[in-house]
Amino acid sequence: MRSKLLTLLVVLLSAVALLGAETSPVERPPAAGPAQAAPPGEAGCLILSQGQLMAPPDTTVTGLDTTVVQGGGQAFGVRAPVRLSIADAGSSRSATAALGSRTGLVWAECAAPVTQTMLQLPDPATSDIVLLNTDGTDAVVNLTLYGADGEVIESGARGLSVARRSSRVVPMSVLAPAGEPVGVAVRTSQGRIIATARLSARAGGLDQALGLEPAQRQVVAGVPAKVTRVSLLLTNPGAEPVTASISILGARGAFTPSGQESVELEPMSTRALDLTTAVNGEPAAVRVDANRGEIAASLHVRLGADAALIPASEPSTDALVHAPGGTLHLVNPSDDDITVEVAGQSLSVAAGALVTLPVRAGANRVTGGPVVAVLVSNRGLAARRVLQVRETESGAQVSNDPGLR
Amino acid sequence: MTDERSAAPQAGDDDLWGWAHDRDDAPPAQVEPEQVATVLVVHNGEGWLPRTLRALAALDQRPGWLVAVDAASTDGSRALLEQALEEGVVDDLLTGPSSGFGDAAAPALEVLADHHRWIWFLHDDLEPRPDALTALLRAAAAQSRPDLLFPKLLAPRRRNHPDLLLEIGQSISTGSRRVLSVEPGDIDQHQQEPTATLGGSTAGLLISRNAWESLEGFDPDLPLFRDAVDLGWRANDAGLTVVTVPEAALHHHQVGRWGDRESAVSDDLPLLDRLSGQRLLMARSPRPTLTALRLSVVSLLTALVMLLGKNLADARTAWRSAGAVLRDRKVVHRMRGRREAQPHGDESGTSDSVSGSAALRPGLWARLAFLVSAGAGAFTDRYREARDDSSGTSLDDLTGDDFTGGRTRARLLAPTTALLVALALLTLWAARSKLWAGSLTSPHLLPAPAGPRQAFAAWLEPAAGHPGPNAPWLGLAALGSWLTAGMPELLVRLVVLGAPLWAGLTFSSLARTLVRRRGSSSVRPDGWQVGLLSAAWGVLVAVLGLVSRGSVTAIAVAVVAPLAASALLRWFDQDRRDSTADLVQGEIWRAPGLLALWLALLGTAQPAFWLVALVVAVVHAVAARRFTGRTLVVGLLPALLSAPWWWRLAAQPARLLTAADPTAAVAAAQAPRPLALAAGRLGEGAPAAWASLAVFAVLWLAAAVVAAVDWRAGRRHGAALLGLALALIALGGWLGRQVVTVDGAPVRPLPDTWVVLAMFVLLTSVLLLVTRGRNAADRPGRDRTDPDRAERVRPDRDRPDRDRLGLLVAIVVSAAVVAGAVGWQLAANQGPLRLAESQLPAHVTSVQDSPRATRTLMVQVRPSGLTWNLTSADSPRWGTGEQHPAGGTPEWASTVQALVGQIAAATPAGDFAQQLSALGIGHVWVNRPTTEQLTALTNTQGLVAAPADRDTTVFTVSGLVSRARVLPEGQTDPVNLAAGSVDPGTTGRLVVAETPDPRWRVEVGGQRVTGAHQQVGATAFSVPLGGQSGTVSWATAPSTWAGVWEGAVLLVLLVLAAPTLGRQRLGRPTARHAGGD
Repeated sequence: MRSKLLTLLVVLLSAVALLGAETSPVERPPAAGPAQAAPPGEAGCLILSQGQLMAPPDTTVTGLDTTVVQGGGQAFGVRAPVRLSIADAGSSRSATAALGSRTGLVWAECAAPVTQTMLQLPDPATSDIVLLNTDGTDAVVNLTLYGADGEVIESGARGLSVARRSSRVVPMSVLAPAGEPVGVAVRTSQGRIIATARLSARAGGLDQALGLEPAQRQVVAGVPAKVTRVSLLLTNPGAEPVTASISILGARGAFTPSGQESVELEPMSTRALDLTTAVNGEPAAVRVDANRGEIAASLHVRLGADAALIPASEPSTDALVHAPGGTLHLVNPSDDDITVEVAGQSLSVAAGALVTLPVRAGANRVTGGPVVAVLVSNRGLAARRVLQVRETESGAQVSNDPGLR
Repeated sequence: MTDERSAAPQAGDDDLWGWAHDRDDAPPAQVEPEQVATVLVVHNGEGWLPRTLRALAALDQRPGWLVAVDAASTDGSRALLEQALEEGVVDDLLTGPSSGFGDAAAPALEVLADHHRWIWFLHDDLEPRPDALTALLRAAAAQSRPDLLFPKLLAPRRRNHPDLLLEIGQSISTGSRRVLSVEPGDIDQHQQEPTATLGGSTAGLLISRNAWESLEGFDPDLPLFRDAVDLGWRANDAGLTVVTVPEAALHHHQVGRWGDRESAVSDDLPLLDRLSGQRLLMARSPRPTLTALRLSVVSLLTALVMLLGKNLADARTAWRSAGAVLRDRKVVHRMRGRREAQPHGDESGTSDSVSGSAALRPGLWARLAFLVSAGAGAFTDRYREARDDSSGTSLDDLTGDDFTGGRTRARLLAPTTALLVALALLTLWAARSKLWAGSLTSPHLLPAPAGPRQAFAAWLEPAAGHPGPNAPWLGLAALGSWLTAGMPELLVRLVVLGAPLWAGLTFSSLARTLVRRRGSSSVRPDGWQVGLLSAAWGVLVAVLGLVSRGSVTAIAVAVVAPLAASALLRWFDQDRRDSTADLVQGEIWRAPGLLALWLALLGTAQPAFWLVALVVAVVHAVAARRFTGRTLVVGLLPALLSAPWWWRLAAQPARLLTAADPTAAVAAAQAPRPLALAAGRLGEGAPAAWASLAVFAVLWLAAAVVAAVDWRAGRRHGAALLGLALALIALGGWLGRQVVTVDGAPVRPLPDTWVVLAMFVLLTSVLLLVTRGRNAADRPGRDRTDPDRAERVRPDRDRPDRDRLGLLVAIVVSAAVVAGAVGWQLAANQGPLRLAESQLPAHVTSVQDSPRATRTLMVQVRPSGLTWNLTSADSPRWGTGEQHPAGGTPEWASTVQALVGQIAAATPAGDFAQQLSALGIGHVWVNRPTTEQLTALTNTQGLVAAPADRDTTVFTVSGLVSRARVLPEGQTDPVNLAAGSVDPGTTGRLVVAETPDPRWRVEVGGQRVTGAHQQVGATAFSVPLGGQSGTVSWATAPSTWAGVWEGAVLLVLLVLAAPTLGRQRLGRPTARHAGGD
């Protein structure tokens, strides 16, 4: 009898235990952590004359010889190429070196080294490429030239060595025919560089511009009022011909320039399109849409004795710039009206329209949109893109997966 | 009869063929029985003498004189002889000393009559066949004129069993072992021919009086054993003819050799036997001292082998003889003297006869053949025992014409075999897609090492940064890889893919054990019920998804559980038997030893089985009401086998709850519900729900029916087993809901093992019902044939109903098994188990495998987030799942996680490549990165991008990264070793990207690098270079002590579990007292 009861008890207890296990809470594994805070951002600035560097807070500026450049607050006096270590990595593209010279005003963008980029030059005879290597290892660069009639094969464009922590000027006059625009694809086979297109005084004024990313739609903003000349540079780096549709975005909205609605781009070629008449002395921006593939676009603008080379930029929703005061060009390339906030003001920008706003020197942040923003100098001609602040803390969960093998 | 001789031509000198016509007119020689004096020596033979006397009375030819010599018997032998004298069975009764066979026979030999030309020696435990003497005399009259004739000795008679051979003549090996011309235990098929022999046993020896007198009888220094071998040997040396007579058969109980007789000659008869053989050799050796030494060494080796074979008695005998042989000089000297006085060869002094004796002893090839035969025979015997085949017959028995006894049934193929073959085919078919090249892996199964060296390294080289040696199951895996020709991958395939078959086979072993234990007459050991349930277990293993999940520990449990259960049953059995006559020497340790062995093997992977072993031992002690050394063996040895591992477990106690390689799989967010576990749904890898339901619902139902039927019949086994199964499911369900931390990695203890055990318990309860069958257990009252009844139970009036119920249950289970098998086959290629090559391109793996030994950071980008892993040539593999999967320590994991975070945010630091290089990471493999991430990595200094496929880019870290780097003196940045080797003349420190651990051993160019280790953060260490150059290698110092310990304990378990070595007694054991029949 006792054993019967014992057995019955065992069965009942087991059943109870099973029910208890069924109703017990499921413990969850600890959630995967989000990506950690980003390390400091890096950037390099091509400084070819004396000027002032305006950078985000907590930026360390060192010369290529690792000498720390002394500066107060967010402004540094510079006269040579420098490297930046920016605590807030997301704003590493907002620093600006305002360089003045007899031949014009230059607002140099500071950017991180890359392994490939695209430059455009209006005339190899009056412009060149400067390769800046801020790393501690040598870099080897290969240039691919896209001229008016297609790719320009030139042996001197391959295997260009740029020593560590130094710069090298590549004169384009010896590589490409004069008088015709040229697009240059810059790729490193070793190391990284900061590639800059530089206009000489003979180009109408000194200026320099960084590289740009080809895309199917390009928006180039920053044409001030009363320009002397506006030339749109288009490069098709692909192997298929491309038809690029041109739109001018002005204060009253977008319009198609008469007789210049579209332009045919042969494979691996570059063309220049004179939009002076179309712009008609008004502040404007240019929108280019390719029917296929990707194209590069920039503007060569002349105003009096000065000139500027303005590359295309992507619409941003949160852009930041540290620069001298000037006029902020806000362009809405989309088909919908947008609202942006700048310096405490809220502005509406109609679809395809351009709005200008004077801003002070220092940090200027543009939120909302998406909007293409370019800061243009009030005196002389210098322009600087206002670029998207990058997200440095990804919300993505990061976890170890032992099954990944 | 015509006078052929007169009709034949007269032979003359001219007739060259005359010899052909010569006839020997002399009549053929005959030996009359009257010429035979039979000497029956009796000493304390009360238990067997009556049978001997009856056999003598039944002789078809009575010897001329049959004298019994009572050698100072102290039991009732004298009275029996006197009665036999009165009845005329014996002619005379004399008294002799008890100092040996020869001495005892002497009084009779002294009074032989002149006409007694032959002497026939008999033992009191010898039963001659009626025609034995006739056959001997016929042989004695042969043309060869033999002088010594040794008959055929058979094992004691057993009713309805064939006669088994014991010996027909003897020889002796160089190690003093008896060398027989037949295999003891073989069935006597009367196929032997008379042949020359060196000697034999005194039992039944027929010797001519002339030979006896010329040889001066038995050597007094060989009182009981080998005396006839010596006599025959001397006879051969003297040129006499010594032959065997297989036609003359006598049944011999060998009581002297088995120690059934109390002897006045020696209290250690086996020792005397062994010593006698050794004396025999030393007396004839030209270098007796050397021979004595050799024999001593042989005895020591024999003692060791017997000790390992748990034969303590024979081990003790061999041990004592090793010393005794060295102290036997005087005896040997006497024996040599006697031998030298004996005539050798013919009178011409040739040694043909001596060399003839040598030819009758086994040569080198014969000795080698014996070793091979003994080993093969031992293997087949153990194989039969392992199969629980208690058949005492041999192949001859199966093919013989005689009725060999026992009920036989002609079968083309036994049902069990047929069902298991079907299971094998299903197993093979299900595994067909995984038989090709690659590495078998799953979330619970890490890739196998490349070879046995790597497998042993995984076991013996402790993981850096962790205390103590590695898990002992790695040692079993390494040893197993030897069995598969040094291919660990083959071992994995066999174990995992063949799991259903192995499980079915072991379950059939358990089923046969149960059937034989219960003595069921309606269920055969190879019947369809056994086959069905065995196949069911194999199918269950597959339907649980254990194979598809690659759940190796659970597979091991599924295969081993029936073996452990079988051992447990036998252990309970042997402690309940009244007589342990057949459990002599080490046999009593076998069952508990086996049980401890199986639990110990499981405990090396899942420490929870140590607790199981303890519980089983306690339950046995309580149930059997005895606490012996065997209880300790079962309760403690399983844990002791893994004792070196305790050190690591103390630092990671959560490991006690998990199975092998717990960190191989990321802890799932969800856990299977206990009720789902009860339905066999362990998670991914299970077949369709309908298949699981069909099988497990039926199983639970069947178990419930068993419980109800047993309860009604007054038994509690069914209900207890049902309760146990429920408890196991509850345990597995609860554990599966927990998340524990093993070395910083979150892990869910898998419920697989407990679910497997629960299903095993359920199926076993069904097995108990099905195998009950009809047997004597149906009689009420205490019954020895049904040992699971310890008390009087009511008569089972429901026997016919239970038989039908058992049949019904078996049929329903059959249907469930078929459904399960279909579901299994349909889902065979599903589940996470896969045959996978690495996702990394060849140029990455080649660098990993090179002396640079780089690591690869693998990152996979998904909408839900980024997952990553760190791989290398030696990770992941067996054993890396015992610690943190990323780099082996939580510090590594956090360091690498930070780097992956930078990739996720597309903001790699300026020194990103240097950080990777410092960790020995030579490549970053990124799958489906965003444009921003791809651009950021492409633009990162020190990384060179190369697309691997449409979705994957591999970034190579510049600078020929190596895991070992050199930090030259005066510099701050280490330099990679491009070829993984140090150039001559290099000074400074060697920095190795491994978790710091003082057990690291670094070698450069084959020379050990000495000098203090310095820790370099949490992910590297450095050692000073002392001018060495060459290839750099490093490894943690092997935990040899752990290997020795685990090997030693395993050896002890194997010895305990192995069958006992030594002679097996043939025939029926002889009763010590009168009336034993």
